[in-house]
Amino acid sequence: MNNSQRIAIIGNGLTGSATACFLAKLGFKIDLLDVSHAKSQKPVMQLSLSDNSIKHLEKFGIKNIKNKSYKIKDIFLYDSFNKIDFKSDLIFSKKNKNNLAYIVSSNLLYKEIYKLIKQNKNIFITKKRLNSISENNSNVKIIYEDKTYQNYSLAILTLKNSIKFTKKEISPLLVRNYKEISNTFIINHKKINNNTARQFFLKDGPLAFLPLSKKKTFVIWSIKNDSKWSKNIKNKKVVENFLNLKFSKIFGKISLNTAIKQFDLNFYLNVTKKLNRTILLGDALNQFHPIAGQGWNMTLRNILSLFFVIKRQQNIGLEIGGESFIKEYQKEIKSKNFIFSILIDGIRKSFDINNERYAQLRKISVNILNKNLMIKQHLIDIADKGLSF
Amino acid sequence: MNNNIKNNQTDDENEIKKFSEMASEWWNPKGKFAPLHHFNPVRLEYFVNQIKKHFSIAPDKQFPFKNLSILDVGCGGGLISEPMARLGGKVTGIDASLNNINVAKFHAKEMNLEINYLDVTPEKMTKSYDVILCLEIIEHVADVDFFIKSCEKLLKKNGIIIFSTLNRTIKSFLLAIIGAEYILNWLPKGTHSYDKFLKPEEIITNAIKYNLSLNETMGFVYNIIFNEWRKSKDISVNYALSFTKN
Repeated sequence: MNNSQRIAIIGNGLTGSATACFLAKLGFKIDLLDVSHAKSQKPVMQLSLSDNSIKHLEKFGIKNIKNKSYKIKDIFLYDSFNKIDFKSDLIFSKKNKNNLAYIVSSNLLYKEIYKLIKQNKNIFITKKRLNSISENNSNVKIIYEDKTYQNYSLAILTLKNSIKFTKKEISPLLVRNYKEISNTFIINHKKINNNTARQFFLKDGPLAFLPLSKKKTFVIWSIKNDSKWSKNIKNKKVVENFLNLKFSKIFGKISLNTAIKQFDLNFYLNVTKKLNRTILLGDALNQFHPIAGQGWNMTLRNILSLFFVIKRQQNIGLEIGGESFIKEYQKEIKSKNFIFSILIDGIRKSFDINNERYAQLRKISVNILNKNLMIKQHLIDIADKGLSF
Repeated sequence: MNNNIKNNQTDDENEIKKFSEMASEWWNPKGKFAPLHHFNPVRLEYFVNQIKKHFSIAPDKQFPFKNLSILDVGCGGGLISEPMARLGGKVTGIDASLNNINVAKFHAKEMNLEINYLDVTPEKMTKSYDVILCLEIIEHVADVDFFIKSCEKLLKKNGIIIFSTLNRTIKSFLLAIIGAEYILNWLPKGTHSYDKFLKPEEIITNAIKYNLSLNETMGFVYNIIFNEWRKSKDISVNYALSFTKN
């Protein structure tokens, strides 16, 4: 048959696997490349998926997520610059019966997607190490460490460290080091009606509680490097005491269920230059502050955009990859991603200013915002569906 | 120029370099043929749907044109032939310019597509086809009546033939010649001559004479504000006619 269009997806993590799963529906032969060098597995993260994200996953046959996830009905934000109290400054809740967010472990989602991949005879998983990725007019050539190579119509990079194989034709459009370390752990507590996600903006950095069940909550605390907590956080007992002291009003007696995992927080949005057959998704494209819980929702939206652009081109026999194709794709996603990134970075920055008077002003503004239902609904829609023009 | 590549893929590096440059000219969406690239997706979508409808092919079938033989008359660098081949069609592209044929061959090989490109005019051909596409070509031929007659002879019974061209109206004169050639510089000056533009009824009258019956007339309009082409009922500038052979 007259169709030799093949697609390579670099990285078989969550983003790569989901992309493979979606694009295979269009009938392409897909090589899903496992290029992990060591056995270093990504830590299990709790993802917050929007209602719209869940719907799209279901449409592509990933069906069990809603049942297996924990539902969030409200999000409370607390401006706790001066002191921690439980009068929330900003409340988001969805009016109809839909939930605001679904908390699901990245591992569970990955397993569901992997089931579909194993059944799909168009997806080939290969474990190989990369040497370089280069483009010419008609192909993108992936050369492996063992000197073998393969030509593709399109290469999709999903790992941050796969960017370097393209020889500097990718550069960051925005970069910021937040100078904070993100700490995650799970707490046990008394049985409560646990359907509210809470975010406290502390002086030391934002502290978020994401419910996992009536008796378990996932905690993300991003601590600034210059805060006293950057040392204290390593001591499980101290953290436990602090949480019991400040948050027992919500959770009752709190105990730390797991070890505290730490990772650096960076913000970046990469762009490709003159690349017509290489597309970035997931970590290769961007990383956000987890503050808005938007990370994977946006990745999923980008995968969908890619899917629809490819489908449109394929329907009329146009090439996948190449200058016209890339132009179509960029038109679809570029500005959206840029504005979205700035928006999230902006939220983070506004809570990052440790100035008393600014903090007062912020508290007032946030309270005014809280009363403006129209703007709030708008923000909920953006979080759910992303930006649309 | 000439026959070096005709006996196919000589290793003459200069030749390859030359055709590579010419191919990138034809295929560069920002180059000399940019207007054609810009117009291409809209007209392709329409032609693909017309062909699918004509042969009752399911809209989401994987290689919808798998069992169809397709002739692309005036194929140029292969901007239509290649998509047709990708959709599964058995494609022959013909062009009066050997230059174009060589460029098209070169590009198809790069794209790993099997397309039969020939430097020939339709009256010299004998094989017959399910689908014949005469796109932006009829306004360049010397004898319209003879051209339609020659194409019709190559069409199988119940096959579909599509002509697309420019209407001869004041509007098309202003837009396609004054606008595209002199103001926007989309096309080289002298690409089109107004008196060779055809009114739809002129094609239809000729076609009916040769046993073709009209399926549909469709216009294409360019919106300067949104910088995009759209299908339209307005056939005063760009339009396409599709016929079936009885």
